[in-house]
Amino acid sequence: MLKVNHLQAFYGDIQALWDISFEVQEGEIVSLIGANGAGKTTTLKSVAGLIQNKKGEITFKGEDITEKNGFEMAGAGISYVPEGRKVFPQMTVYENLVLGSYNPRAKSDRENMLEQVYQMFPRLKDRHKQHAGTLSGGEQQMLAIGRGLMSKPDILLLDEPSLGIAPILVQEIFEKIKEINQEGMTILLVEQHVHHALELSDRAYVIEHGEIAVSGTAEEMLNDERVREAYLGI
Amino acid sequence: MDLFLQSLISGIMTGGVYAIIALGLTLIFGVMRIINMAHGEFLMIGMYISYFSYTLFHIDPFISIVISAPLTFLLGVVIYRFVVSRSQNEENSLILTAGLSLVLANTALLLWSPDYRHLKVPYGTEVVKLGNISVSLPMLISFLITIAITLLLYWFLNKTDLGLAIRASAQESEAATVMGINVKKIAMITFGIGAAFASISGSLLAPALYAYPTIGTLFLVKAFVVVVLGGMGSVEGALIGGIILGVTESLGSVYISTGMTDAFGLILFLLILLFRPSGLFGTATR
Ligand SMILES: Nc1ncnc2c1ncn2[C@@H]1O[C@H](COP(=O)(O)OP(=O)(O)OP(=O)(O)O)[C@@H](O)[C@H]1O
Ligand SMILES: [Mg+2]
Repeated sequence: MLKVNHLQAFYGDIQALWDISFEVQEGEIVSLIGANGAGKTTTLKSVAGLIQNKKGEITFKGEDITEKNGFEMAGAGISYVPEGRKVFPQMTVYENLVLGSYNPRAKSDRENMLEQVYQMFPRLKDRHKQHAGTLSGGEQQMLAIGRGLMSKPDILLLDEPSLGIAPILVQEIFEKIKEINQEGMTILLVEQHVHHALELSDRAYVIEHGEIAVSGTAEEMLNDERVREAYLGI
Repeated sequence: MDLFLQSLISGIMTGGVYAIIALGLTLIFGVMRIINMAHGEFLMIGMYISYFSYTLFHIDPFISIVISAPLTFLLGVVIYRFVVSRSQNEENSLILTAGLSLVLANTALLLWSPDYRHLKVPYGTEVVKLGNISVSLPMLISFLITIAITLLLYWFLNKTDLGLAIRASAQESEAATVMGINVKKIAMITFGIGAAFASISGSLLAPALYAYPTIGTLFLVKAFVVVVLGGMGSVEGALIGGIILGVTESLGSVYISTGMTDAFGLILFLLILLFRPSGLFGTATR
């Protein structure tokens, strides 16, 4: 479904990605693993069209989307849930969700999607009139994921959904991700909780210094000597 | 007591117009982080559009808003597209819009000469009696229009997808992009709306004030005062700030000195900057 080929990405003169190739099949959860600054966020942002300065090729559902603008991606079926959540703080939970369905293909189905998101995250329904900035970190993450789902994507890119969240909520978030996947959503996941992520995933790629270093099924990764040492602390 | 009430009410009414000017400035700032130094010139253009609509076509200044608003919206969009959007950072855009302000004012000077022009409507001196207090009719109409426009803006920003997109772009522009919002286009539209707001206030002021090419500067300063009072980027703040400025000027000119009307705002400005640098209501909300 998503195919990335020899991707390089740049911030001005600084090269952040050197050679990234991976793919995600329909219905899979694929994890990207890597140390701080390895290039995980840059990879997701490149796919989401938020980084203009790049080389290589990104195809999605058979279409070359390398040159597409970020604002065209929601319509193409790609939904990026950013690192740090990036909810609209001075807008209500409801308004945040409505904005999730801003793109025309989701707009017509807004009420229906809203119902589904509220069902998945009842807490958001309880707080639908509250400003997003006043939610707890965990609730903001639920909102960010819910907002991402509102665009009716074919693939969800999740960037560190457990970052800065109370430990009791981390488990809940992972369960929701699993649930979303079981309902048929394809997911590309970046996580610091590598163990959690691998247990959830079908396959994974390790990024080191802007390059893919290791790849394989989640099970292979959990048994891989290097991965265990560097990312699982075993 | 009557004198006090009288000047209080006239201050509130003038304040409504100040609020509209500041709303335009604050909207643009919210989305683009640009302080539009040419904001006052759009007001000046609105005044001239109303002046000529009246003298050439006998269109009432309050009705000519339907001409001045869309025209300056388009002018704002074009100027944003070809001039303002080229600046890469805040310092550049400050200098750029300051230059734009000079260009617009001098173009007006060339086209329309430095003459002071007065739009004299037949009902210009009529007053409406509210008990012991009398209110100038043009001022009352302009105040009612201000209220209508503010409510309209409030509805637009809160209830329409485009309005939500403007607020989203102001709060988290990258997340807005992810939602499918073309933030550059939103910036252009917002610049147009800001320009239209300035010109609407120009039309509202046209029956009360002389129009001349450099009048914009005076109102840019007033808009700054309002925005500093109410907090940059806040609709409610602009409204309250506008009314505080209007009332201060009005009471000041009655009880202290008429000649200093425009100075009271500056004094207020300095006091706020000294004692409440983030505005009267603390941190700015968007
Ligand atoms: N806006 C930016 N400007 C310049 N360099 C950047 C920028 N954002 C990231 N980088 C650099 O690009 C490299 C990859 O960063 P990226 O954010 O993709 O890493 P990451 O794997 O997501 O790390 P983390 O786990 O900390 O989120 C880093 O060396 C980082 O310093
Ligand atoms: Mg990251």
